[in-house]
Order: sequence, then C-alpha cells, then structure tokens
Amino acid sequence: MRRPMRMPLTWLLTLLATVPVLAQLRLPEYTKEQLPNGVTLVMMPKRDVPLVSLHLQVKGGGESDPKAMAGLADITNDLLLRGTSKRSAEQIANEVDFLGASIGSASSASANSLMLEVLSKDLKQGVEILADLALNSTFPEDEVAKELARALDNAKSLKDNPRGAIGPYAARFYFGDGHPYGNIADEESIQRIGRNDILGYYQRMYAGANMAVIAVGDFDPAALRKELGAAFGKAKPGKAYTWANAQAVARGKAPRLLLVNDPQATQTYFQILQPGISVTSADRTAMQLVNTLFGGRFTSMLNDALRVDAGLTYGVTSQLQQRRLPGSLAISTFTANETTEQAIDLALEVLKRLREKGVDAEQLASAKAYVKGGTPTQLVETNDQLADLLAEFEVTGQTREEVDGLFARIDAVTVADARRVIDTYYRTDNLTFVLIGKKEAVGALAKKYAANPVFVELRVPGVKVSASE
Amino acid sequence: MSIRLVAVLLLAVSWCFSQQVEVKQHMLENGMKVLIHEDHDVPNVAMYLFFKVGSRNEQPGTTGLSHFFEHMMFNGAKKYGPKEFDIVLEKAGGRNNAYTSKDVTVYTDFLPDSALELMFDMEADRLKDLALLPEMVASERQVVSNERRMAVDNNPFGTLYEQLNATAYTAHPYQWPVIGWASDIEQWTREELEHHYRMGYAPNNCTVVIAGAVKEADVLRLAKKYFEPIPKQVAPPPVRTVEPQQNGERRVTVYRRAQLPLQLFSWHVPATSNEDTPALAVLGSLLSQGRSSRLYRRMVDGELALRAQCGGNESLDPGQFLCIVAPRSGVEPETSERALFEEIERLRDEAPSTQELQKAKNQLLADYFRELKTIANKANFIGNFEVFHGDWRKVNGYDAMIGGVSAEDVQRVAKKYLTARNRTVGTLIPEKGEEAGQ
Repeated sequence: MRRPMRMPLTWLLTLLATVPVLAQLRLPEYTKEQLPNGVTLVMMPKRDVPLVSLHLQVKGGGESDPKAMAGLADITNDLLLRGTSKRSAEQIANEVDFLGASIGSASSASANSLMLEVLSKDLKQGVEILADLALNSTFPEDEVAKELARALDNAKSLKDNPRGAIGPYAARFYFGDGHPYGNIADEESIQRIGRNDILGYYQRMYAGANMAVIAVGDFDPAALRKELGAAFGKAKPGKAYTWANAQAVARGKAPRLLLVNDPQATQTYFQILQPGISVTSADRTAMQLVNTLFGGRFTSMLNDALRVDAGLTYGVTSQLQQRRLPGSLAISTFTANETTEQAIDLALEVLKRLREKGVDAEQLASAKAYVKGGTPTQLVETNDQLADLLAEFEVTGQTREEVDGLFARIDAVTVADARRVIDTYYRTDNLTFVLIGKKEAVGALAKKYAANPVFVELRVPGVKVSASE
Repeated sequence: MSIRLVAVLLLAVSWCFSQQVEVKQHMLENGMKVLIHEDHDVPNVAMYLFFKVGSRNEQPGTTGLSHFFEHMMFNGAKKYGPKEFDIVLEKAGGRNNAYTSKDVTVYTDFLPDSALELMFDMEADRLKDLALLPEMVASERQVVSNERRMAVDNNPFGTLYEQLNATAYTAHPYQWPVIGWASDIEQWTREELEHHYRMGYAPNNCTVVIAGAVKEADVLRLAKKYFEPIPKQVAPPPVRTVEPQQNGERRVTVYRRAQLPLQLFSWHVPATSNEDTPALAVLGSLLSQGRSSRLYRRMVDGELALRAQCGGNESLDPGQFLCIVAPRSGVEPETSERALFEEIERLRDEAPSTQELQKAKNQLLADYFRELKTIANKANFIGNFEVFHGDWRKVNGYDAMIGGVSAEDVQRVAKKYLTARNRTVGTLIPEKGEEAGQ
C-alpha cells in the first residue's frame, strides 16, 4: 500500500466543506419532523438500490461521560445489542444475521449511534428491531459483566499497537482531564463503571428529547413515517441533554511535551498539537483548504518534505478536528528511532515556512479542485454516508446549506483569507508534543522541545499523562 | 422458522443480484483487457489497473520488489516527471493509491469525470516510459523501511503473520512477506527494478477496470489512443514451484512484549478459482460471520477471546484458510486453541441445520451486495473476479455459486482441508518483565 492516509473520522466532517468540480452539489430532498415526545425523524428516499440505512442517534456521546467514568456512553451503547425485554442477545444476533442485515454501534465525541442496514423488504422488521434495542434494553447482569471485561481487555490491547495508542495519549495530554475531549476511557475509568451507572445513563439519555432516527434509501415515505411514528412514539419524552459548556483549550504559556516510553519500539510516533476550530467555525472552509495544502493530501507540504524528499516516514498528515467544540490541529506521523529529531525538526520547519510564505493563488486553486473532486464519493455516494451526514446535522445544528452552499463557500476563499487563518492557527509558539517511543533512544531530545518534559510508561494501567499519577 | 420462509428470504436476497452488474469488455491489440462499467450516480470515476505480478513472482534476495516497485511507479516517467503524477492529478481534483499482494499489483485512481483523459495520459506515460531515477530509489527505500517498521516490526499481527507464512510454506513463494525481508529492502538494485518493470508491466499482463460516470465509447477511444500503442512484451514466467503437501502440524512461537497473546491458524486450501472456494466461504461464514456465528458465541461471547475470525484469501496458487484468535487476558492460548479446534471438528462431524446454512448464505450475499455500493468497490470487484476467478462474468453468478453450496459440501471441505496434519499454528506470547520498574 502506498498511502497511509486513510481519512480519520474528523476528516469526513472536514469534507463537508467540499463539492464536485462541474456542478453544485445538492443533497437529495429529505423531510424532518418532530414527534410529540421529541424524537426527530429524518427521511431521505433514494431509490437506486433496494436497501435502507437506519441511523439512530442519541445526543451526548463521549461529552456526556461522567468525569471519572470515561467510556460509560460507549459501553452503554454497545450493550443495546445485548438484550431487551423482548429479545435475548442471542435472538438479536440471530435475527439480524438471518436477514443478512448489518448492525453496528458507535460512540463519537458528541453522540451515540446504532446503524442498521436492511433490505427494503425487511424495513418493517428493521424498524421494529431498532426501536426495541433503543427503548427496551434490559442490560442483563451477565451481559454487562462480560461487556465491561471485554472493554477492559480492549483498553489493554490498545497498548500493543502504538499507532492506535497515540490518539488517546495526545487527547488526554492536550485537552486535559477537565475537558470532555480529554476525558479518555482507559482501564481505570472502565473499572469504575457498574451496572447501575449504565442503567442510569440509559434512562437519562435514551429519551425522545435526545433521539433522532434517520432513514436513507429505497422506501415508501408514507409507510415508513407510519412505522417510525408507531415504534419511536413509544419513547418517553425525557429531558434534553444539556451540552457541556467547555472552554476551548488556550495556547499555553510554554511548549509542553509528553514522552510515553515503549521500551521495545524501533520507531517513534509523534503528534504536534495546537488549538484548532469547531465544526461550525466561520473559518472552516478556509481552514479546510489550507490544511489540505499543509498536510491533507499526498502532495501536501508536510508529506512532500518528510516522506517524498527525505524518506523519513511512510506518511505525515495535519489533522484538523471538526467537532462541536473547538478541537486540535495536529501534525501526526512516525519515523525510525534514529531519525526522530530530524523528523520533528523538519515538521516544525515546514510549519514555519507555511507561516512565512503562506499559500499562493495557484496552490489555493489546486486545493479547491482537490477538495471538490473528492466530495461526491466521500460524502454523498452511499445511503450510510448520507445518513451519517444527516445525523451529524442534528448534533451541530447545521442544515442542508452546509452541503448545498459548499461550492460557493469554497469559491469565495481568497489568498488573503488563507493568510489570515494561517496567521491565526498555524503557529509555531508554545506547541504541545506527544511522543510514543523508546525513551532510551529518544528521551534526550525531550528538553530540546519543552523545558519540563513529562515521561510516562506505556505499559502501566491507564492512559497516564503525568509522572505523578 | 419454517423452511418455506427460509426459501422466501433467500429469494429476496438473490433478487438484489438479479440486477446484473453490466460490464463492457474490450481487448486492445497489445493484449490489454479493458472492462467498463457505467454508473452515473456521482460525477466521478474509479480506474483500477490490475497487473498480475506480486511477491509470488519474486526470488530470495529480492523479496518485496513488487511492492517497492508499486511505490516507484509514482516517482517520475518521461512526460510527467518526479512528483508530477500526484501534483497534476490532485490539481485536477483526483487522488490515487495502490496496493500489492502475493499475486497482483493494483493501481487505483479516483477522479472527477472531467479528468478522465488526463488520467489515461498519465497512466500510459508511466506504463511506457518509467524513469526509475536513482535518487528517487534511494529515498523511496527509506519510505518502505518505515512502512515495514510500522506494519510488521511494531505490530503484533504483522510480526506473527510473517512467521506463520514462513512456516506454513516451505517451497512456494507465498512463504515470504509481500513487503519483503528487511535485508532485501536495503539491497535490491536498479537493474533488478528494471527487470521487474519489463516483466510485470507488460500491457498483456494488465486488466484495466473503469467504473463510474463514463460512456463506453469515450473510454474505448481513450484506451485506443493512450494504451494501445504500448508494445506487447513477454509476460512474467509461470511460477513453477508447487508447495508440497503438508503431512503434519507445524508450529511457530514468537515472544514479544505485549499485553495479550495472539494466535493464527492456517490450513492449505486450493486456489480461488477452485470449485471448493464457495463451500469454504460458507464455512468461514458459519464459523465467524456475525454475532450469531459459532466462534463468536463460543469464544467471544464465551469470554475466551476478544476476537475470533476465519476466512480465505484470494490467491492464484493454492492459498490458505486463516483463523485469527486474540485470547482474553488470563486465558491460556491452549484453551482458546482447543475451543477453535472443537468447533471445526463439530462442523466436520455434524451437518449444519438448513436454517443456519441459509443464514450464512444470506449474510454472504448481503455483504457481497453491500460491496457494490461504491464505484471504487465495483472496480475492485470486477477486477478481482477477472483475475482470481478467471472471468469478470462470475460477478453475476455469485448468488448461484453460494446458493449451490450444500451442508454436505461444507462438511466435505472441512474434512478435506481443515485437518490437523494440514495446519500451521502461530502463537505470539507476551514476554514478562515489560512492566515499568521490573
């Protein structure tokens, strides 16, 4: 494989700011309404294949995890597949598998989701199953115990793959414990979760006021509206979740560095983080274009310098989080132990060059074409992509204008706009560095980038980001 | 559930497939095959070029050359110099990637329909006149070394899988890793790269699949203009070595600092084109597809493993049926291994019920159908069927192929292939003493 640049989830949102080259992109028609109990129904009929994607979304997600119990939202959501008042876990699995349906659970920073894809002819049964899972889950004691033990082992095994482990360490170190995005599930937080916490979370959050059901695919709207109304009309109204009102992480007064020691590592994974934007920021389109040029595609400034010219890495990206709250902007890559210093220095040099030189009209035009050209297949090609997009609107408050107006917004970005966002966001002062690597080989570098580096061990329980924990 | 209802359900799943995937086939004079699938859902195009050359065409000392070559195909040709392939394509709104396996090297282009002719021009340029500049070889060598460190050395699965193959195969080239041994990556020469180019990249060794917002006539015109003038060459010589029959279990152990053990199990099975492939697919589905599958219930739900998955890989030569088991903490690898073997024995000794068999078929067919949702997947599918099943038309016969598998077929292939003497077991054992302070 030539490209490591598989799009991180945050990028999918970033791609909201994009459209095809020839025509304006326009979302297919859809309807949206609210049931008396607060459940939001969104329906987008699309008749190309005889399949329907159903997406149940509950607001909250990782943001709604209690401080000491990170992982509660995710675990509760996974347990929806483990037994209701009508079906045992085994019956759920049998029924879904027999239909050839696919079901998945996911918990993002701001929402929990169940995604069910069924053949159009099985839609009625699909709606009934989805509503049963959402509204009648019973959280059998043995299933809860198994789920918690499984989550614990998953958290442990994450440490065996530093590529996967760098994200949680970076998030916790950058955002800090007090911020919802820094409240990271680990072995310790999972061990604090009990069945009562799960039941409490379920009763509080899986209420009509927090719930949206999105359907995209080949269906009869009138018939489906009736099914959805009957099934989800039974949800108790409950109380709407109040979003956490977290402060954006401010740039520190000094650089910070965390080195997570992996004694057997032959390479160092590192991220260099600084404050970014929220998904609704007025700067999102200009940022999308600048970030594409800086580290969002193969010919980006970072990848060209670190991979293509210097051969220091297999790939390097600049990751622009686009979430409800302002997130981070992070350079992310890996390199051999012995080239760690060279790679970090070169990444910083490329950042400095971006600040000094900005981007010119030709580069900006290329970024615009690139972003527009990829959008149709990355955002609106399949039913599930569209369902995810419509679900995301429910969290961010965005509307179809986010997609329908993309072309115009992209076209409107000027070189001066790019200059302005570079000045504001792509800075070289007081950065946050997070490394997973062999301390014996790269530990001596730490002080070069931050006066008071923090050293922790990878293979101790939990995602530790301070030496005293 | 009644038998009648079961039959109705299968019928419904099959109905999806009765919407045939339409492909127009053309053979250029130089032997390059062009397959065109029109789909105007989005204004984009996926172009996949399949070359029948992979690590099976390599030798000891130059392992990994095919994969390295895949990287070099982006590093400059006659018209589009170093970096220009990517710069020009991205500026036109497109992007690309590529992958190499044991059997094939595949170049994948994703573009807005407006960039179609440009894409043909750029692909023809590198097929005809690749530059292989020494400075690019040196830099790319380091990129691949970094890729190897990431995918193998710093990854428990990568480490174990490499050792498993080196143990399961004693003679056939499937024994070495696609990315190559580290020492080979450091040493291959420009002459060896040139030889590989001439051998593998003959137009007559290539099938190109174009799926998306195109018109057949336009594609054909462009193919004739850009691809047809590339001269025919001698295709790679046949891989002569046949892996001798395995007559006893083989085991390999890898010690590594890790939180949890990992197990891989491999059985030799025929090439993908063999008639037993559909039965093996159903067998894999019964074992591990979905939460109602046998291994999920016994091992994951039964708290023996975090995951337990089995299935076959596509291969031109006799390949392997592989199971991956990640034992839970505190579970001895012997325990999870025994559970896996018992489930395989059970499939061998007792026929699955009609309903369970039907469920597995429904899952396979629905999954397969889901694969056809995007133009990129369609291009990959059509190309894979052409290369590994010998004919893209079999895409449209998949439902019948899976539908025709009987309970007896499943038992027969389990008895024939999933035997103790035909298996290789790889176990990754966490080393003690990795905790801080020890």
